[in-house]
Amino acid sequence: MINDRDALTQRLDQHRLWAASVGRDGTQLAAEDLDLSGRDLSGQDLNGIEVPGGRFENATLAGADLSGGNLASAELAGVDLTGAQLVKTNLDYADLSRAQLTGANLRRASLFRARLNGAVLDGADLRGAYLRDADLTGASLTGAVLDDPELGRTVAAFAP
Amino acid sequence: MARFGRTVAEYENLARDPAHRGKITAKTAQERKVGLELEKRGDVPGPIIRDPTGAAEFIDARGGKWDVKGFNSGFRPSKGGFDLGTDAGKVDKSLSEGESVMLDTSEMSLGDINTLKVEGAARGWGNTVVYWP
Repeated sequence: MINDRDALTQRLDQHRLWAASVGRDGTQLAAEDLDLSGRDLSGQDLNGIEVPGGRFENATLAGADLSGGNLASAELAGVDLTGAQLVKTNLDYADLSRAQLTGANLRRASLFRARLNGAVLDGADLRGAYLRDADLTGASLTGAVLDDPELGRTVAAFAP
Repeated sequence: MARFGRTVAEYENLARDPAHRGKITAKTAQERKVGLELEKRGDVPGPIIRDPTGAAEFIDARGGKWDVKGFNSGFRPSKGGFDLGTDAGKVDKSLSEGESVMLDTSEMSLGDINTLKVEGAARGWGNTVVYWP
């Protein structure tokens, strides 16, 4: 487990290099239960990051690119993910309750059993997302883009 | 020509995901590798192209849409690792939407691959699901 703050900063730098170089340089960040609480990661290209079970308390991820990553069981409750890129991201079992996902790109993301209660998904793109058994109680989906009947039924089941 | 009979531009475009603003990532480059090798093997009618809508990964020479899925045996199911019921359900969702599936098993254990193939046969996936490598 990575606990030292400077070492973690270096690992994140190495991952950004890996992402920007399409895997040619740097090192992919892959660590379970990583504590990224309090980090300002807004706008950063972290595509392909593998941090299942990661903790993001009071972190900021607005505009970050986490596409293709593994954030299953990540603790993202209340986190600002406004405009984040989450294309094909694995968010199974993730706690996204009360998260701010306005305008986020969740195309083909996997959200099996994810907790999205109270999340704000206004204007989010959910086309092709897998939301089976996700909890959308109280979630706001004004203007969200949904394209398949199963997804529509899932969302309708949680409508107030 | 670059690789697999494509020009450099065509080869690059096979890794550009329209759903992701045309970005090339390590994941989309891996998807390209899977697609091209399955095409070369004759399991997918070529030449394949990227689906310009971003709804699927590729469109084959007959107009069929293909999704690329990869499962991982290196994590517990709750941490994004392979789970037979959950992941077979994800394949079923793609099939129900009229897509076929290229299944990247490179991060799966031999036991999990065999289990998934048995389950796929029982669910009647047939040649709508092709396994790589």
